[in-house]
Amino acid sequence: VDTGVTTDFSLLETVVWALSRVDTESSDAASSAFALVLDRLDRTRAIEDYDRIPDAVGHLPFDRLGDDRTVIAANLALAHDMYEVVAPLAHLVRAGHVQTILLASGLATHPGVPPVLKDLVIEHAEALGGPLRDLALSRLDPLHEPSTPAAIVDRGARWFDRSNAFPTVAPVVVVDPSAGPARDRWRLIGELHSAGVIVKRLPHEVWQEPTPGWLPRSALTVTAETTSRRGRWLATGGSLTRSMRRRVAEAAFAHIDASPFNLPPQPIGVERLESVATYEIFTAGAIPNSEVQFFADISHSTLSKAAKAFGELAPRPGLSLNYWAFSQLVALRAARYLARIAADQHKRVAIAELASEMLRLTQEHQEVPFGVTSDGSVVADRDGVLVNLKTGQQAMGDVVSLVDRIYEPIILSERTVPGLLRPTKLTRVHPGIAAGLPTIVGTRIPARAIGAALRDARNSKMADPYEAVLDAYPDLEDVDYVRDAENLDRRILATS
Amino acid sequence: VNVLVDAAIPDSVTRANAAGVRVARWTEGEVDDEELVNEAKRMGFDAVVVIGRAMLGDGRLARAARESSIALIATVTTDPLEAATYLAARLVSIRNRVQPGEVWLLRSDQLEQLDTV
Repeated sequence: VDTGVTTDFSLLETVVWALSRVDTESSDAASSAFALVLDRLDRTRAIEDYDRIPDAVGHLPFDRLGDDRTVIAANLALAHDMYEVVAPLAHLVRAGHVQTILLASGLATHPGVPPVLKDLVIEHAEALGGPLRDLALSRLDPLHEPSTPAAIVDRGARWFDRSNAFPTVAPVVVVDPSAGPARDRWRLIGELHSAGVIVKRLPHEVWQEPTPGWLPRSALTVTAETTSRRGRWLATGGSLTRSMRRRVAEAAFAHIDASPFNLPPQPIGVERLESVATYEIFTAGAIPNSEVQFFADISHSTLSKAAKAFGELAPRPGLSLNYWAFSQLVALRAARYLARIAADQHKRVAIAELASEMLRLTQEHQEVPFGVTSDGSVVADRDGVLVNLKTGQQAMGDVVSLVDRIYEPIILSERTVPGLLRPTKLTRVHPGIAAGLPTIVGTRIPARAIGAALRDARNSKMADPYEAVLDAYPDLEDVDYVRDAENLDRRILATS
Repeated sequence: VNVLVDAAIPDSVTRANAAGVRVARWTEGEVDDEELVNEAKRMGFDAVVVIGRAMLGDGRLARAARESSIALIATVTTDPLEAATYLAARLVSIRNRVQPGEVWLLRSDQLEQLDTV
């Protein structure tokens, strides 16, 4: 069979070219042709090819129901995570195409595939009835008990530790699909694929479980657990570097034969906050009042009111109200900012109440733009519709400001409040590091610890307090770090 | 007993002496709280000491310690020099009393076990 593959012709382009020329009257020949193409893609796959997939898949010919090309393309998607085929596949599932429903049931549990496909498969699998229904549901859910031999074998091939049929040669990486831009997930998966890793998606049913029973002990899970019951973060932000993605693959290989393996075994989310192009969920952290007052520029009494207004999302139960989650700090900072803008419109807004609404937005798994309209109403963008947060009704006024840079330095009452993630040149804030206290970059040393150490050195009449601190913290490279941390410590002290 | 202190505590604490206790300070850079515990376990430490009770505030650190079967000790003081001093004075107590997976508060005058965090 001549597939037209040449060395200077992109494999992906070859696939698209070949798909467009399949003679549906000679399906055997078509299958042979695509077997060759897929084999070539398998052997030479490179991340550059994955980069081209979105454009290439857009040209795949899904034009006829029951066309062999549908099956080929879906198999291609299964083998190479070409999730852009989801839309046309969903169309065919809706049309009740049996073979597509079965194919989609396998694809629906892959990372990056929108949950809508799974819902569709469930809906239409019911109509299939009998063994086919059982087969589809077994593919979707590792906890589903299959009743037919075919479904039992199929489940064993798809879900680890089920019938012991899952291949043990390649390492397994499970990707939590609950958050993170699809494209970032997909790039991660592409790299893992090219490293030879088997990538699986954590089904929606088991998001809540820290260690699903069906996971093999040696599986590496790319996730970062939060304190929220809403699930976990996928530890793939836009800033996840290529080397970090490689690190995941290396870890997977390193643990292929490992015995008990805790989740998350290889947290890689530390860099996540560096790329806050979108509004994220951060419920970790235990930040004292003083830092919250500093970063949100609010008074102690407003903090007390906010603690009451937050209701079920109030600061940590069982602990002093002095500790705030990072998401609460973000909510307070956003509320403070919006209140200032509303005040410019001659409208008073209660910061604590507003912060409570903001906090609920931070619990969501996607970016929620919000702002203030010309009549002073605070609104959130819900699927393109601006909704008044207080009334739940569609807002009618013109939006005068949408907050999209809440982490950047902003002007609040009478001063510019520093950026939340990088308050100074040499310090940073991450809710997972030192419980969210500002720390010196590249270290776990809180800026305020350096401030305290400097005060101790001065109280002890040290000749050179800065040198004394450098001696106490030999991992600090030079005095610039000490001076920068001291500066931040002073400003926080002055605010509180 | 091998004790790892967080980077917030001055390096002088590593010179503290007590029979059967080795103290090291975290100098491996910027890792998150859970990673600190996991790395400590991997490196063979029996306990991790962090500064300030806020470190127990969101429960992630304590949970990681329990899951890794490593003891977690938080100083009540947030002053690093005080933390180093109090820790040096309680090394024998830590050696004798602290068990894997337990969470303790280090006060100026005593070591107190926490049942819940």
